[in-house]
Amino acid sequence: MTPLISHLLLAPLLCLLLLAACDGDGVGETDEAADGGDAFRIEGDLTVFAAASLTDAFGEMGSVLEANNPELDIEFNFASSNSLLTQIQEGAPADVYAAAAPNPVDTAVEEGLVTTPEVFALNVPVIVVPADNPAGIESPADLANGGVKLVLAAEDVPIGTYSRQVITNLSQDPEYGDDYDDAVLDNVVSNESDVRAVLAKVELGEADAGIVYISDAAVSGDKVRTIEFPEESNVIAEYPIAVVEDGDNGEAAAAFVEFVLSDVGQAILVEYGFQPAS
Amino acid sequence: MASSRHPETRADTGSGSRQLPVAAVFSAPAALFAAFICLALGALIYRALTAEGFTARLDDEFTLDALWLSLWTSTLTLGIALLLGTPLAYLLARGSFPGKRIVDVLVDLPIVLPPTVAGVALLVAFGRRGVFGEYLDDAGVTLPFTTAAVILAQLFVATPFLIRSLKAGFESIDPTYEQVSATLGVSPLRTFFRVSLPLARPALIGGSILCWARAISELGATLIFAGNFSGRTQTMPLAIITAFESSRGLAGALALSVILLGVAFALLLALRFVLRSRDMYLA
Repeated sequence: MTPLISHLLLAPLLCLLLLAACDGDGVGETDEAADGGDAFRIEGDLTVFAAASLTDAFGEMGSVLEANNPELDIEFNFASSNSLLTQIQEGAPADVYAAAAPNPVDTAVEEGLVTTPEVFALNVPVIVVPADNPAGIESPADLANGGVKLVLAAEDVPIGTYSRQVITNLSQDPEYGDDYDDAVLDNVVSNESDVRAVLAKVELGEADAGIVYISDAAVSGDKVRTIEFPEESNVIAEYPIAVVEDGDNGEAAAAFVEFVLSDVGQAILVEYGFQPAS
Repeated sequence: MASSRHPETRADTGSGSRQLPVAAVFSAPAALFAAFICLALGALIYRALTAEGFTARLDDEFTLDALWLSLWTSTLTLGIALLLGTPLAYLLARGSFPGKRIVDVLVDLPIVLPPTVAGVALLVAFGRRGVFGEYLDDAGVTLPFTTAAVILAQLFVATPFLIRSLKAGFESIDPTYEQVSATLGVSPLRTFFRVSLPLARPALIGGSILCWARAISELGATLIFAGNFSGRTQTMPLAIITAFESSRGLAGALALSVILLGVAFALLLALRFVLRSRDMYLA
């Protein structure tokens, strides 16, 4: 429920922020707001394909933009970055593509499907355990304990790739030992299709631990406990965003990307646990 | 299944579709729908066969594990469904007991529910923190992420198809046969196996095919309740969705889809063939 409450609180707050941002002369606030809103004056139907981890942050941006642009109707399609790429390759009607890893977007660029991408957010993998922590996991080392039910995202899903990278990195640290990665991967009981499915299994207490982005852990509130990886072994996930070449609403798509990169957009991302791009 | 015999017999004796007065009107929508299925499956096969690495997928360990898991879990599911579903279908067709109508509706529910709802229901019931799963967990039985969970998910969504079909089959039997058998002093259980079940054979076979087909195509409930792990809970539909979401994307999913399509088609064809040769023998 925490995200819902924060949505309700945040939307008007951000409108105020927008107002304040444009209040250059301090006169005629309403008019100025309308002028300032012009920077993100968006019309028509806009379809945004975004990585599952962006569900809440982009949802929030959508409500803010729609509140300021009555003529705008944004539809989101949240899934794993690779599924989104496949859908775009097969001609799905997308205007914007935002992924959790550079690879799928690079593929899209090579195939001439999207314009040059820009990194708009950073994220880091963390361990989440159910609030009551049934397996008593206190540190990344405990993931290797026998009988831990660990849920990861599938190997090719960005967070799944990052999870395995961190585990490999840790096994190079003598403190964890060579066989750390094998021991941890032996504990994997399920390879979920996207990061939110991993989070759900941990929230429900079916899994003893999972690896998700820190932004997902933030959304979960007190249903899960977060354990961070040592910074020197961790991976940083870069989120690129690009306009789809064949989109129906290129103007609105460009404006949406601009909004995501703006101070307001970045503030929303930070609110949801992401790190700003710059 | 029994009804499918009639048009064939008629086609054999008559001179084609001209004998059927509605054929002129019906053939357009009928052809349209047949074309719809052919176009989709044809495109699937065409794209899979022209995609790179199709043959490599055939003897890939990941594929074979998923295919084998799918085949044996769906067959075991059918076995359990027959064991538990047949008595229920017979009771619903012939018996009278309090709450019969409610049970009748209950049995239909998994057919109309989205499989994801079935998965969530199974998880909150039998998951580690589930209403009953908590006690199972205390007793050392944990279902999620196990092959047992795959079978439970399949049973939940597929058994109703068998029960539906069998119930209609039992209802269509003239009760006189069963009464005659009883008056001849044959025990009720023997009557069931020697009279009722053989007479309901077309419904039994048709229902079994539906049940098995539903089990082998099960995705949503399995993904939620059993998770996705190669060799343990990753059946073909889960392997297909995993391939689709991987960087191999469509190419991997296409190959797996065509393999599942081929196996399913071969098995259905074999069952039809067995069914028909038995029918000819009976006739």
